[in-house]
Amino acid sequence: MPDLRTVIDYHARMLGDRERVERFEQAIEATVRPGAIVADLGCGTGILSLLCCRAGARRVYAIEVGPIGRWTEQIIAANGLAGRVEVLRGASTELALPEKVDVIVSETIGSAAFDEGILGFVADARRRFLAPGGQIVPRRVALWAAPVGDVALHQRLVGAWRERVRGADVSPMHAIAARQLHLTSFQPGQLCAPPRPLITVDLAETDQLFVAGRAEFSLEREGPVTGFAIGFDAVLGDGISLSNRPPSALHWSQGFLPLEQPLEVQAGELVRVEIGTRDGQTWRWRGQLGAHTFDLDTLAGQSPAREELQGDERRLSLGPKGRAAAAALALIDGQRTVAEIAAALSRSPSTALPSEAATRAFVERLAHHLER
Amino acid sequence: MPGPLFATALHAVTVEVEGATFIVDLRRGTSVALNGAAVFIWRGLVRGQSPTQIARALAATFGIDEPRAQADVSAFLATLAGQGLIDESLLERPVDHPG
Repeated sequence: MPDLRTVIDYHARMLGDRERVERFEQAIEATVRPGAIVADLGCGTGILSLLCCRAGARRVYAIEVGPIGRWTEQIIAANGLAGRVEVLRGASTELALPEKVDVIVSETIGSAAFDEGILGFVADARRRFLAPGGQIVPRRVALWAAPVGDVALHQRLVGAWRERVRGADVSPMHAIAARQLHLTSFQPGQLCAPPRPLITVDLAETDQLFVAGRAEFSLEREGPVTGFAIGFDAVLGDGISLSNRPPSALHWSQGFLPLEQPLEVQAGELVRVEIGTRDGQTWRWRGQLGAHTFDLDTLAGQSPAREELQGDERRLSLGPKGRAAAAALALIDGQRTVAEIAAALSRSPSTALPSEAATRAFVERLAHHLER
Repeated sequence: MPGPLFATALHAVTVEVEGATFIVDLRRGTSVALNGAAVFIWRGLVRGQSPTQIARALAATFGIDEPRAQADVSAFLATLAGQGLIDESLLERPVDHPG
């Protein structure tokens, strides 16, 4: 769960990003017709839902899974639109709507284009929510990439893990840090070549969660390459676009897919890169830099659990929390309190967690999920 | 890119967890666990070895005869190709390539 101050600051930055809000407003005005029904996926504060109402939407389903959602209704009400905007708390992929919508709006574009999950959210909503002939804002999202030559940046994000910290060896983290999508802000001077588009996704068409592309760059000067900057070009509507190519005044930063270590490339040598991602959550980048090849992915850096990899075929059994949950479910009867259920679990060795406090917190969390 | 630089598909990623090696297919969101010989063959592909080179090394490492190793490598590559996890041209590459 993100820290509340982080959430509030993040949404303040988004609302203060004038270019972002204005471009979405233009696209919404061009797309949402009077009387339209709209789904706003990842509505945040609800600003785009309000703009949809201003454009004439009859009803907006404003969907938010994050903690900001607890205040979205208040913001909508403060604008006198509680009767037209219905705020739904949860992931859009886990919700149902009572009617089809004419327009899907989703500002789930990440600094690295797909890292906020726009591919999965929109593909699911398009299948289940969108009426035939309906429209989507944004229409297309592309991923651009450019080789990076900034050694100091690489040292700060990756190389630092090879340094001893007051004699302590922290190098086991180096391979993990090299296999992350880092978010950072780039200036043009940090790039060895201008950005080039690798992947373009038409959100009205694609059902693919894995998208990939490749590009070649010719470096004009020799020097180190430390990784690849990535970001987005988004088409929101006819002639309405947004991009975080450096230099960018938008609130988004950019993504950085590092190399394990800086590699020297001669002037005129080709840099080739292939980048693929599954819904912006897992990334792979590989290619050739002059005489060197590289091949990295974030999966190892995510340290997946064995159970996750075994997927649907694995046989399930209950661990200590599973046994506690099963026992708690049997005790939930509309009468017993959290404290009574936690006390009952604590009395049995088969369902007790390490401490009474842990048992009580567990029951509270379980109740929180079950009562939603 | 002119010709494949890598034998394995971009969407086929391997990860080691608790001593087991899995190939994760990022396209389908599925994964399969590899046995020891399969890990050996996959690593050979990643290093750019030809099927013939891998089969010879497999025979030497696992103490099996080369025809059987060749058959094992061919069968595994056919399975991988069928799932779109490797460059299919590998199946038509019985001789060593520069890698």
